[in-house]
Amino acid sequence: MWLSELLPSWHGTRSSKFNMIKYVALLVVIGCAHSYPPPADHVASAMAAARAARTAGAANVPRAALQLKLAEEQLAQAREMMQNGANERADFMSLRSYNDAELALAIARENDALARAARAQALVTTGTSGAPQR
Amino acid sequence: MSLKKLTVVCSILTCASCSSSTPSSLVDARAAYQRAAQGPAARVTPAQLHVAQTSLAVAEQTYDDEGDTQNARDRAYVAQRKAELAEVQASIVDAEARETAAQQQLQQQNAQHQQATEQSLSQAHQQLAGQKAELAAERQRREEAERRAAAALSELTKIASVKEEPRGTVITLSGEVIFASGKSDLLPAARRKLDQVAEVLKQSDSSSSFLVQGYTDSRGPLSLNQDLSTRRAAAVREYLVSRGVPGDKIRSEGLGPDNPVADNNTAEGRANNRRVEIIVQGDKSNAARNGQNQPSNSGPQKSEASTSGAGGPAPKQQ
Repeated sequence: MWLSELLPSWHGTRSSKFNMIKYVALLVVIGCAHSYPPPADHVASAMAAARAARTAGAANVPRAALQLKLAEEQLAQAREMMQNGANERADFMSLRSYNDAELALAIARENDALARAARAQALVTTGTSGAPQR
Repeated sequence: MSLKKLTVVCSILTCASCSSSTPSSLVDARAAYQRAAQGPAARVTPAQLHVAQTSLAVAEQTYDDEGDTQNARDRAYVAQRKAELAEVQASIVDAEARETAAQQQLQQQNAQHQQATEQSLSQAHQQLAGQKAELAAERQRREEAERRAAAALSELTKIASVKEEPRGTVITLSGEVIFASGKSDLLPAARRKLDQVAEVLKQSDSSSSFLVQGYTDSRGPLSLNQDLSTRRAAAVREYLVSRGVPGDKIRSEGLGPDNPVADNNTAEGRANNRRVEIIVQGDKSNAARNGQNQPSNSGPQKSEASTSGAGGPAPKQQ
């Protein structure tokens, strides 16, 4: 059975025309429901953020590693959702992933900054000459 | 239970469920923001904190509008991360500030250390220059002293025999020139000669010591000769001390007829044996060194002969 067989003819009766309008409205509603665009850009941003965090050594800092793991898991979920057409959920999931990855990157940098500060302060305490290595 | 009571209980449970239905993600987001706002982020990273605040407001609004939906939970999740990010970024800024301060302090320390080192080096240079100058002055004084000692010794060779021997530099003065026969009192002429000797001794090295030995010939009683030689040596020592030779560095002894330098059977030999020897001991003696360079007489006899003009030994018995 094809759609034309289900739909009433435009040239039909007055009630047929009314039914036609209802079907069209239904299609519009269905179409709108699926009109959320695939969040490819947001997924790409989340992926880049996760990569940056990993490059910065987030995997080696326990607190950052946890955030990085969350970011990568949510990124995978976002991709899967996007493939399944759940674009809106995929968008939010990529947003969560992006923020986790950003936090992971920041924690890794914080760890580095704290270590550098501690080294510099230790040099001051011991009175050793020479600037600490960045 | 009546229907009325059941209604009240249900209402309470409903209210309770309403109040507890706030998603934990939103509660966590609020707590995270509060923590960040009360920490250094408010001062250090206000922009990031503002982003967190805005994000939390959106989450709150979404919850108000939609209730506990996935959308509201997602927004709360994001708001929590934004607040945590503000905190971490504040921590980074704080750590970098501490690092910068420490580096500046280290630079100051290094600068102070360098300054102290340079100062120390400068002082060392100055000290070294002073020492060099002092050394040069000392060398000059020493050369001058050596010149004077050489000159004095040169003069001395005119009145006495000067020989270099293993026991030291030996200055031999004829007993005939210094003492009257059988006496231990210095003759006036002897004093002038001993003045010259004293000059030489005073200019000798500070580590030198001196020994005055008195000798007689072999004629006469041994005890008398021994006593006479002792007194004569002591008289010479006392005179030298009176002329400035350090008393603690000079001693005297009488050896009587011991160690004759000539034949006691001849008058000339006995005259040569009657003598006073002043021995300068110590290798570092200027007098000794200069004595080596000075043309000395070949022996006592010759010396006595050469100094005979100034009071050479007379062939007479003491």
